[in-house]
Amino acid sequence: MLAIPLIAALSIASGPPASAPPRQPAPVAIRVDGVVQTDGAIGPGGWIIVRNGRIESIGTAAPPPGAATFEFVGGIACAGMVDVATQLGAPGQFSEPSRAFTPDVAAADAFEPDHSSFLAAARSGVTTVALTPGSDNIVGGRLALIRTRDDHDRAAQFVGPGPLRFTWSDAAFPEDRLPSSRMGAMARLRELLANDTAKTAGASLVSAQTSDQIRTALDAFTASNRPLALLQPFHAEEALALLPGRAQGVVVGPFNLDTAERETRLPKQLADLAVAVAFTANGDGAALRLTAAIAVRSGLDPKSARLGLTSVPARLLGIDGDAGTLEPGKRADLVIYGGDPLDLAVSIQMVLVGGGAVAKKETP
Amino acid sequence: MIPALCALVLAAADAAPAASAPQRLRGDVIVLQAAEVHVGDGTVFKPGLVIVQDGKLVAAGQSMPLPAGANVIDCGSATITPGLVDAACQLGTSALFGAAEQGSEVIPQLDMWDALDLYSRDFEQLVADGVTTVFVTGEASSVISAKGAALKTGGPIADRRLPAKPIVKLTLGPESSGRGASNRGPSRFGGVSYSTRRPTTRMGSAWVFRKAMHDSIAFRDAGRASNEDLEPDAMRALADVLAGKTALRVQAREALDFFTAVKLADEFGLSFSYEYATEAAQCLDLLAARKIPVIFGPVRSSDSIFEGFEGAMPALETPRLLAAKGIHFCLTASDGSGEGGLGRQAGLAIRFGLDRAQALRSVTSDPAQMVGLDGRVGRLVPGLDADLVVWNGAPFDDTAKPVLVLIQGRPVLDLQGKFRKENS
Amino acid sequence: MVLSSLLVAGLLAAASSIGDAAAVRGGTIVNPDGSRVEKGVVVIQGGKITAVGGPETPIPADATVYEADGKVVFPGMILAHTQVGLDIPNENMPVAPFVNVYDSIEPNSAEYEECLRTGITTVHAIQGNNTVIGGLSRVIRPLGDMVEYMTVRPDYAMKISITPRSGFNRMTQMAELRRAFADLKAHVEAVAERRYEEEQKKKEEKVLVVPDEAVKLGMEKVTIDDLDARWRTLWRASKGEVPLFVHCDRAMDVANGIAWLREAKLLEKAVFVVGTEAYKSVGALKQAGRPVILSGTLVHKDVDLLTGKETEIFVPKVFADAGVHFVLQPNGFAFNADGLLWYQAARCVREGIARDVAFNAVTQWAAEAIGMGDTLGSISTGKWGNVVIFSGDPLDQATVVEKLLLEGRLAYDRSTDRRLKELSTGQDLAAPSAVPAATAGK
Repeated sequence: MLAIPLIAALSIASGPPASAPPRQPAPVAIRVDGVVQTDGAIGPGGWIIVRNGRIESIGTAAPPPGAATFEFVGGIACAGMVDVATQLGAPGQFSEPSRAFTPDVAAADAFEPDHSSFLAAARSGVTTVALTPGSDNIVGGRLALIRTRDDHDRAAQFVGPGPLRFTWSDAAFPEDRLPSSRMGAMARLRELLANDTAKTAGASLVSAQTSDQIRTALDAFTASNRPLALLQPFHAEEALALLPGRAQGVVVGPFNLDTAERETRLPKQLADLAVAVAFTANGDGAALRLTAAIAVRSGLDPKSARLGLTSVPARLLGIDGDAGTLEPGKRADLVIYGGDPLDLAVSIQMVLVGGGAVAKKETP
Repeated sequence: MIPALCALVLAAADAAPAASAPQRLRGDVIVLQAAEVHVGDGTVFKPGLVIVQDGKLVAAGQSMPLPAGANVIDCGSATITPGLVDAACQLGTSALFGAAEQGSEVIPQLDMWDALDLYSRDFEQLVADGVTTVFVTGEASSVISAKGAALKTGGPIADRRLPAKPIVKLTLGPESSGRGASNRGPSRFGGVSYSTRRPTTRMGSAWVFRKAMHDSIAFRDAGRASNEDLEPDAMRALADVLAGKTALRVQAREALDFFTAVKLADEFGLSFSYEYATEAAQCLDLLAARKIPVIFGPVRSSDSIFEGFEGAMPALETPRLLAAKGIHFCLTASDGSGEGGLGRQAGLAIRFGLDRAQALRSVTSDPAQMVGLDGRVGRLVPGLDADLVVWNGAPFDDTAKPVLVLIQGRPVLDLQGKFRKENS
Repeated sequence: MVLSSLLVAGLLAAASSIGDAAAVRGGTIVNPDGSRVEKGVVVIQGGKITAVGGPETPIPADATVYEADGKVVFPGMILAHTQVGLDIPNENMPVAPFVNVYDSIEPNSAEYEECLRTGITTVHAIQGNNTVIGGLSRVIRPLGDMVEYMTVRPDYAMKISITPRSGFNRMTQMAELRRAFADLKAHVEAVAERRYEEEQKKKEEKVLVVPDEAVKLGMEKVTIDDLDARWRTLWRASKGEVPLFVHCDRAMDVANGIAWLREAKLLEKAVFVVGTEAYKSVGALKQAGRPVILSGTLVHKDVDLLTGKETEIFVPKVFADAGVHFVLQPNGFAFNADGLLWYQAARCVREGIARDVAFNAVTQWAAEAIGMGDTLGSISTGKWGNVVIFSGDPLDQATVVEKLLLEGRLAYDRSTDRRLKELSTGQDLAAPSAVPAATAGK
């Protein structure tokens, strides 16, 4: 049952529910002065028309009659942020240390839709998160993809299973559990990758820290034709050259003002190698923006930084067909900032999840 | 021999890029000149030179016309030898979760390659010691180890692995039966440990081997697993040992374990090489009669007259005695490096009577041959990898060390900046 | 095998030749000052070298002559700071100037046998570094069955550690050190005051001065017999009568050590025993002008905190380049690699230090560090007859010690070293057969 194609799941969820009337019969029109484009650059603004939870047009049409209109002078619209590695709603519930390989564990089983942290995430501009099993196992289980608000703005919503989460660092090798050697683990990992036929979109999320952990993880996944994204690969500068063409992306964060330069310059190094970077901050939009801003301060170009908050994580989770960028036809998960999202002095003016406003300031 | 060399040189010259081409290691011809060139098979050229192209050795000799456009590096009074080869290295494994698999006594289906940390500093140290090729031997805490893996100690990560012949190791004695260095101690969290899982006696180790072999035979003949918990992959891997497709090595320190190994090998019609071999000096006649190759060492500075592991101490003249008996042998530094490294093992063997030429062979061509890599490394002859060491004195002397090391023609150690200067 | 055959041989040789003359003839005499005498002759009489010269040098008729054609004749090497041959030498009391290494020396230790086999003729046995104030050391010959017979210099030096012993921090360490000397001062002053009062009483005179004056007047009357054993050594040390081997592991300890020694007016009595990082204070050590004994590790590894890059410094090279007289120690003590003193000298040459400097670091400068620079450390007329006959160049890989003379007496002879034969071949020469009959020749 977890093998329902993700996009199908999303369209079912976002289509007009059979039992309840559409929450938002009237279209929404939002006027902004800039739009973050699919390449991360800030392009010209105009009217964004949202109908039935989807983006109908951007800058090409006037507000239709009867539309609820919002105008933001100086406002910039951007896709809602996506965080690939969070433990929202159930902190401490994702640690299952009994066995080294637990591919059948599903983070969805620990999902609590009514938890207030989802609303907080949504208000901070995060529209999609993945719940991620902990780092106690070599194979920790399957991610759960969560929209932070449902169409009725009542709770968070499970939209489908995500890729598997792997831990290929010391944390997954406690002293009281087998296998105890990396070659023993490699043998079982290869077996699992060869036999796991569950087809989910997106890239497996792999925690690896040292250069050699990265090398061996890449070897194992490449050999079985599996896409992978690396999670927090710090202390591994020697292995970065191995990533282009083999890793779908790298997930880093959160950064704060105390984070060492050795770590904060990693996004820039990866961008130089044309490796995509996604940011993570446990679903906290403000922390995500801070992380991206610090990466920019350490040399990352702003376009890559904006994509690292939106389209790159969406692609890693396999939901880029429907989220991660502002394009006509995609879900209306969007955030209106008072300026460039990377400018931390800028505040959020409005957040829409599936077209429904979950947070908005008074229109000027 | 000289005309043949000249032909090769000319061929190299033809293939060489124009003299004005920018300095580039691959494709370029590099010539190293030195006071002495030791080929590794006993031949010495004084003075000598070696010619390297595309990571391979093109020629070595006393004097020959230099190819046009060659990058000539004068090493002065130095001596050039092949890069050293360690046939039983135990370095380079991932430190935190590495090579000791506590899950089973019998793991021939696993591969030591998967336990290696190619970014380990161990490899830098090995390069500094002049060791360019290592065969990382199976870990001793399982009775039947994983297959060993051969690799270069430097150069691009993608070029490191070498196609050595498959070798698994049987460990007899305290490492596999008691608390060896890597056997996990009892944990307050439970789990397996040397006290719950290991065979606890020498008899136990021999029994684990014997039973695994019988299980494998039954599996091979009946096509199904016996009622024990040995994995099918493990039994298939052991069938390769029985069929001679995978070589067997035995690690034992004490002579009595060696005698056990001989008995076990006879039971299953196997031949084996003898690793560690601390007490080889006490088994010379049997080793010679059975033509058992020996991988001797290491002699540690802690293996002194004052203490020895289980009372077993390596006899200092063992290399000389093995040579005198005509026993095929090589030296290993095992997990030693620096002052306990492979070059120092050879130096110690020289101090205790081993002929210098044979000492060189015992750390280059002989170990290469033992792991089936003699077609790739171990000698300075045309067609082999251009792995070589330039020493600032007589090789293995206490007063000498490697100052320049090439692996596949690339400098991986260059203390005197020879290549920097050439390239500036 | 409590007493090795070698040791017995050595003692017999010693017994038979006491007072006799000896000569080493025909070898190349190599001295640490760089001088060489080809086909040289060394004459030893009464334990001392009486002549060194070319082939024409006369040899007394009664001398036992050791032929050394084609061999190298070298001064006996010196372990200037060692725990070799000591049994349980580490005293756990932080301030223990009253202990004496005499009580720890084990004459039958195989380590002394190994000293002779590796060309070491003099051993300065001293307590380890894990202390604040250690006890008295002793300079010995590595031969003999009684400490008295072995002794060259009894109760020679004292160990002081500036580097914190285990469990102490740097402040505690220095506080303990200062307090020990302050306690000593208070104790001696009390004794002085009492002595003055006793004198006055004896003379039936009244004590007419204030206590401070009494201390001053009494002080010159205080003798070592007035102090109990607990204070004697420290008192002698405080007066500069005992050399101090001052352990400074790190560069900052060197600075602290020099400051304290200046304050205590004891710098002239100090020998610095330093760790590898102390290479950073080579300037201060050079200025102090005292001998420096290096840690056997020889290589200092530094990790750059910013880049994580590791660098290695070959410490003796730093001292050699600065012109400081340094002394080498083995790293641990064993028969191979850096457990050997001469191997350490070879490593120095490997890293570009001149041979003479490396030789000095195991002979002459080591002798100077134990205050015997005029007695030991080279083959010179008037010095003691400690001579090693090497089979070849001391730093050549195949070279071994063939014979060793200790004050003119044959103390080691490789050709009769049965224990070495056992170590070399793995055969127990006392046993009829080492190979089990059941499996042999199968």
